[in-house]
Amino acid sequence: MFLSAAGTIGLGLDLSPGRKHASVLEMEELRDEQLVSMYLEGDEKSLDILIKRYLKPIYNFLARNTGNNKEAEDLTQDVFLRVWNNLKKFDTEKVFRTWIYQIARNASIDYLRKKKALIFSDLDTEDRQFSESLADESEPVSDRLNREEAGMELAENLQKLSLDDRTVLLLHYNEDLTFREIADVLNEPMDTVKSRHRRALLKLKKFFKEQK
Amino acid sequence: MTDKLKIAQEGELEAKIREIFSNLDRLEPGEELYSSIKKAIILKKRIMVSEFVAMGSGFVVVLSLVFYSTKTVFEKISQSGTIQFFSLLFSDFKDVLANWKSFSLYILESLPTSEILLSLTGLFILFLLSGIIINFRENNKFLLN
Repeated sequence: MFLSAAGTIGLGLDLSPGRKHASVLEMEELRDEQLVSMYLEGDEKSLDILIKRYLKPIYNFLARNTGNNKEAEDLTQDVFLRVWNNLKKFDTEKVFRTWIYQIARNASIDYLRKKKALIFSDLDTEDRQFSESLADESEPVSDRLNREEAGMELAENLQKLSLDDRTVLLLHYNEDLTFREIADVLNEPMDTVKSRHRRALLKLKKFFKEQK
Repeated sequence: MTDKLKIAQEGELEAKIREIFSNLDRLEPGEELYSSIKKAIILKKRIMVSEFVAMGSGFVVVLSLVFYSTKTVFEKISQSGTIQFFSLLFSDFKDVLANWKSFSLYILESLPTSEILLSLTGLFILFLLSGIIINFRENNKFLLN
């Protein structure tokens, strides 16, 4: 009943009990949380739409975060399996997008731990030894690179960052999450995320300079 | 360095990094990934439903065993004379009290111990299975409807 009211008021869709199956086009306009509720009530199409909606972003995030495109496919499958398995526990009052990225981030951590490519300090929240200097002694970062080179260098330099720093940058610049949403993903205060973002930018700048 | 200058430089750095990120190609997954995910979910669903059916079947089997062993317990008790011996408690209470050790031993010896143990074990397993099945059903209503 609530869903039909919300749907009717919010989107002008008729989701009343009498009309059980909205068209696929109409369903694609529904919010993630509405699709989750519909799936839990037995609508299989809702899950298909959710998977299609997040397949590429999650894959892209995992591939960039782990640095391994091939393994990222298996990880993406693992993420969606975990999502499906835990859908019944998802609180539809919360934001699905941050929840799925949380699962994706945890999957990256598990993968990197297995590969022993992750050391404890990669998850540290503070990098006290890194001296933060904004004094720009040299030419701007991207002026000397063409588009493709800049992209490749960025991909390379991202792998030099810690997992959490990389996660913040990828989620913010690639997936357009706000700092508040990233804070939910990382389960950290927003100020910590902003500091992490700032330090990550400075580290990236340093890496680009070193490659000059 | 003043705060304003610091903020301005930070903003400039962020803008440059954002520009570089725009050069980062969006990676495309293989064409089969979506169908792999769907197949994996369907397989997991089938496994969970099979587990539920197996638990249900196990419940029915254990229930039958408990029923059979409980029936046997009552039959053996009625055949062994234990009930008649118990009735002495009401008819000759003083004699029973005087010979309570022998009376107790005889009662214990006449009971079908193994069948009673089997019934109680079966009841315990039934109790556990019921809890597991109810919990499974509560957590996976969307699977089993």
